Amino acid sequence: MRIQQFGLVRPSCKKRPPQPLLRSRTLQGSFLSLILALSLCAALVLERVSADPNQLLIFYKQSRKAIPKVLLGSRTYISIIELLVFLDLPYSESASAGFVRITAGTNHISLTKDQPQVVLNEKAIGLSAPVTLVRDKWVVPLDFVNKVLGRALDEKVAVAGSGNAIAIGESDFTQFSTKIADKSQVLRVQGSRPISAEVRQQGTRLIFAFGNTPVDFSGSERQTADWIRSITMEQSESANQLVVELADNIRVARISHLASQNAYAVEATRVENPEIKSDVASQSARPVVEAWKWHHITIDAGHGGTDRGMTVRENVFEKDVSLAIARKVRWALETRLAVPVVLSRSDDQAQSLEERIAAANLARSNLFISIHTGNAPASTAANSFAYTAQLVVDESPSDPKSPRNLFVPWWEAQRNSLPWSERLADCVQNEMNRALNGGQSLSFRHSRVKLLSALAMPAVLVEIGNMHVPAFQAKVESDQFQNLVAGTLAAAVEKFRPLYERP
Amino acid sequence: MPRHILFGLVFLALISLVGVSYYYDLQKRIHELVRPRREPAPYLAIPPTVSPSAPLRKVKVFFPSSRQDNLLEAEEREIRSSELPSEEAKQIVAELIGGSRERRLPALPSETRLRELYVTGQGLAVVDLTQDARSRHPGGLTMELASIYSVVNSLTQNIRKIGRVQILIEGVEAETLAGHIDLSHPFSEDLSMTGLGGTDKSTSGP
Repeated sequence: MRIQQFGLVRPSCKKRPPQPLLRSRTLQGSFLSLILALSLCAALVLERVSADPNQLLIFYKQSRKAIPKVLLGSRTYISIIELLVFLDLPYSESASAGFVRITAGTNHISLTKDQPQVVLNEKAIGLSAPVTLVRDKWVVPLDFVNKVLGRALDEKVAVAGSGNAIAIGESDFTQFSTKIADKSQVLRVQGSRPISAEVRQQGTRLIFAFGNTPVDFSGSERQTADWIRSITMEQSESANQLVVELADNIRVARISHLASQNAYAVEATRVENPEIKSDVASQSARPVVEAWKWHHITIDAGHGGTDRGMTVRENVFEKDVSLAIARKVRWALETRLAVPVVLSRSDDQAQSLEERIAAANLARSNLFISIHTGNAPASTAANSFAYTAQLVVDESPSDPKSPRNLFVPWWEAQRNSLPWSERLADCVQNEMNRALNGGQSLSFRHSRVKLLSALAMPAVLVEIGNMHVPAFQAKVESDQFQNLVAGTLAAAVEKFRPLYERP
Repeated sequence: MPRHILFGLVFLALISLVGVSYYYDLQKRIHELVRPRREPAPYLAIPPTVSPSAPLRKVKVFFPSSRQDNLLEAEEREIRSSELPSEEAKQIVAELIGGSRERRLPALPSETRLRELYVTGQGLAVVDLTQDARSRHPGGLTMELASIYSVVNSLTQNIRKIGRVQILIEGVEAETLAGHIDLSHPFSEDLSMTGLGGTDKSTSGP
């Protein structure tokens, strides 16, 4: 209204008398305030949560899954079958008869089509909207999760502030915020509860990966700093991390985990030459052995996401142990051999075998080691073994001119690398015999491992120990044992390198 | 009573009897559909068509061994003999799912059911298992190998007409059973794990 009165935007201002100088200054002040407010808004946009509003992210038992949302009118629904498969709950359903029956331990849930209620152990619970079918898919309103599933599973359900994430079995999300100190160039990541993150740097990106811990980013106390371009929370099925984009001339000097204060502190300094970057993973000086001819090594952490592998103990699965060991192997290889290492998954995410194969083949990885923990029937021996691929021999009579003999099928891409894989497996097995198998003289094994047969580089799968043996189960999570495994594998690759790189 | 009335009453009584029995049968079917079945299902979705009076024959069924030297060990069982290899094979798989009687580990999760089993003229046995074989598997590459070769060796050892075994899950080719071993091709018999352990060490260079 005031702007109209001063006649700056409407042609009718021509009829009005000239504006007094003072008033113009007030107007300028208003504009400046407006610009300031807009800048603040822009700065607020800097700290944002990057989550797909069309998906509901569910955390449950050290794993997470994004379930697509379905909008019907003004109501938001989710697909229940996908949810049940993720939660591993048995169910029966009939679209024609219009019912879904779910079993959660001793509890039974019945859903009937077009009914705005469900029956939990013969007791009706009202929902905000009726259960329905969309394109032959059963969908339920969002409140089904906390009103019904929480009770049926006997677990607490926490909802993130954004409403796009739910944690089953957690009393609340761990809230965290960032605070940027004024002059000292210190970024503080503060949690409401103890937080544990894997911190790594990729170029100018500083990443705090929270794994499968349900976290909720509540923003920043001070919104902007000239040395930070943006702070983003990426929360999806593939990532649960805070990404801090640093300015080009900023170098991370130190990262401290202030465990007693539930915080991380990042100290940064400005550098004259922005080309020189620090790497968080290499805070201690890396010994550079010699120029490595390979591009990189891929370390594959077995299983992941909803594929949990075997159970180590309550809420700890093979996928967690294999990822922890893979991270240590990466560290050991990078420091001992100065060779770049890529993890097939750096987080707890589901990845199919094809995805792992395609990523390594497309990147032309030079070496591939897949890490698994063992589960053998023998209850006394906890030996570790290296496996190479065993390609299936086609017994049908072959024509030498057939395309099969001209091209290598993708699922047999290992064929040309198999002799090298066997050498690598021999090096790995010998090192494991010495360090992990008590000096026994065990041989590596060939097997029809799906993952290995399609890899176009020397590739082995390592099966560490035997979960049937209580002594092994007790130590497999310890840093000491995992470091021993990492050192053993790094030593094996170190011995393999001169064999492979010989002229 | 006139004769035609008597016939009419008898006819009505018969109709009522059929109607009542149909009603109860329908009710039972609806109950089965709506309520989950509580009693344990038989191991085989389709029972083998063997005569109960057919002679018994002894077979060797392999189970994962808890001893260090062998991955698999055999237990002796008796099945009804049949001219059809698939009918004998079904009984062997039922014994495998039923589990060891000598405290060995299960070859397959006890919830697994055999959906179908047939043998082709080329000696390929196709064993179609329910999803439980995969979803309830304890995991681990060695245990996965033990499960697969328990089935493969138990069939190839006892039925001469079976040379190779293809495992399907819910009627389709599965990638793996527990995330490691390729199930897309048939398996041949491998008795090395029943007495010999791992393969020989490779010493030859590329």
